[in-house]
Amino acid sequence: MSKIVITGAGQVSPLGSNLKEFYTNLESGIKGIRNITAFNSDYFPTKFGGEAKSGSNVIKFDKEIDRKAEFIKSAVDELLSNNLEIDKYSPENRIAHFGAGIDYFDLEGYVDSQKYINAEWEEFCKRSTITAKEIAKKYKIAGGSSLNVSACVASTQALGLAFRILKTNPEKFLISGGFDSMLCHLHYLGFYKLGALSTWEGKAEEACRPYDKKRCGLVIGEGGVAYSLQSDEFAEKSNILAEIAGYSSTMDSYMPTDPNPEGEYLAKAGLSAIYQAGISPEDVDCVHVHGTGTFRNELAETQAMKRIFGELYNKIPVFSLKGHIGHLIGACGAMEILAVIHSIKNQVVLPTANFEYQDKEADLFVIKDEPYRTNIKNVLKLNAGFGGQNTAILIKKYE
Amino acid sequence: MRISFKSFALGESIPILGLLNNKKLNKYFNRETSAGIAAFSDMAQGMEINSDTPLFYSTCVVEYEDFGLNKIVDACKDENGRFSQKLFVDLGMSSISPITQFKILYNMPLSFISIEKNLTGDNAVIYNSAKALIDCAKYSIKDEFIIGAGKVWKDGLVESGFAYMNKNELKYLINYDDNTAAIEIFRELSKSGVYHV
Repeated sequence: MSKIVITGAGQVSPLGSNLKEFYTNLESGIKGIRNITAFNSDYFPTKFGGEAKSGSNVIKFDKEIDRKAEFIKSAVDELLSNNLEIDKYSPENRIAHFGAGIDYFDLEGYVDSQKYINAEWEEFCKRSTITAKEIAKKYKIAGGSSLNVSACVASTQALGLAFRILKTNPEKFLISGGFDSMLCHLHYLGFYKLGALSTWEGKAEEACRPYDKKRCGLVIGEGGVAYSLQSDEFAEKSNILAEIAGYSSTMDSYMPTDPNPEGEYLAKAGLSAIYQAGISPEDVDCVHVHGTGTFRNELAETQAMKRIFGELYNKIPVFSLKGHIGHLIGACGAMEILAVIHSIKNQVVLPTANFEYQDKEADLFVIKDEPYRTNIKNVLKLNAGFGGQNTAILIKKYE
Repeated sequence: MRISFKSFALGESIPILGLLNNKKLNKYFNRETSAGIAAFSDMAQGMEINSDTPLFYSTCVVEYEDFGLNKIVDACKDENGRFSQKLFVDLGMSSISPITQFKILYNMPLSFISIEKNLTGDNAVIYNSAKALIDCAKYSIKDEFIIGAGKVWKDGLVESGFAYMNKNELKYLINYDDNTAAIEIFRELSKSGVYHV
């Protein structure tokens, strides 16, 4: 039976504009969260943001440009400049599925143009469907290109569909990942009005605090990440970064505003992904959690971990990338899989940024201060979305 | 196969209060969600749907908005009619309710239907593409599933369609591409009459 493998990646994020920058900064413990500078936020009640950077400089565009569209185009360019395997596949066997956030709206341009007089707003709304088509055209992807918009699990659901397609169609070449940027007037303050944003009163780089007792809300990040997925029977073995061995998605069916506090269906997704991979919970070596830095997410996720792992729930090392880069919403899970690949490649679980004080109610084994070295073959990636959608992906070291 | 396809003109009431288990949720709904509740309830009438039945939904490109953009614009333009960030922060954002965010996020129709109909299984929200919606079903881990779509047109007309079907019945669907809005699946199915509830 063939295995589904990740054979390449490209990214733009708060940790840099290519893979090398991302991993260098990740290993160095660099945090990508600052006060927003990509647009004027002088009067904003809160200004924390994980802005995408090139080197140490925030990437800037004119206001009419959809930032997330540029990020994913750049990520795909990096991916396919390093992985020439795509050339072995006919256009009909190339498929792209991405996760994305809600469309960017250039409010400033709309007001300044005065086109609001006749409610001519459409040209100021930048459709991600157009971005997907542009990528498909550039790379001759004729087997389909589409977007998943399931909020915080959009990118992991996109990867999940890619995984499922490859399981029954090993001759296909899948490109998948996610892109998002909520760092604009409307979307940013929309989240503020929901009361979701970090109320931290200290430095910006400390504002997102996954699992920390003093956690106080999420920080919006932005970026784009793309992976190539292939069946290992067609893949160049030296390109293989990891194996996707299980995927599952569930719904809480609970509340629009909160995750199910019992973590029941996040756990169900996790267990399903584990069993699909042909392993048991005790075979999981570490968990890369959703870990948003919000009070309720961490409580619910802890309950899910108890349901999945029983007595082992607080003995398995866990990591959240969001302390480094913030919450990339429609791109978060896919971006966080870069850290999963790092764990597998380097046999290490990194310390979660800003995790200082354990919360007794969310008492997972969150790695603190120093990297935790251990044998890592199987990593569970958990994500949960606003509105109650959950995903779990089981990622294995390829052997 | 069970199908329902419903449309409601701008200003037309969407009668869903009698369909809701939790009537308080109604305040969070945009018209696409309300139409979705109406169409789903019609499709599911008399059925017992297992809670782990997959639900795949496509939200199509919104061409008409009534989320309060005009209120924000009115509040944030200065005396020269240009955008003022200070006015946006001071007045613009306070001109709309926090609940508006639930009307904007694309996954909310699926989320509210899952809550109301107690669906906890496999799921996805696709943006527009008929082909991708069908692919979600085709590669689902379950043989039986529900697919649905919603679309708000430029004139404010909202359409919603749902189908309870199995993988074998996917053969009745034509070969849609990514450029075709998923709502067209349900328009075509409803025209056939054969499978309509």
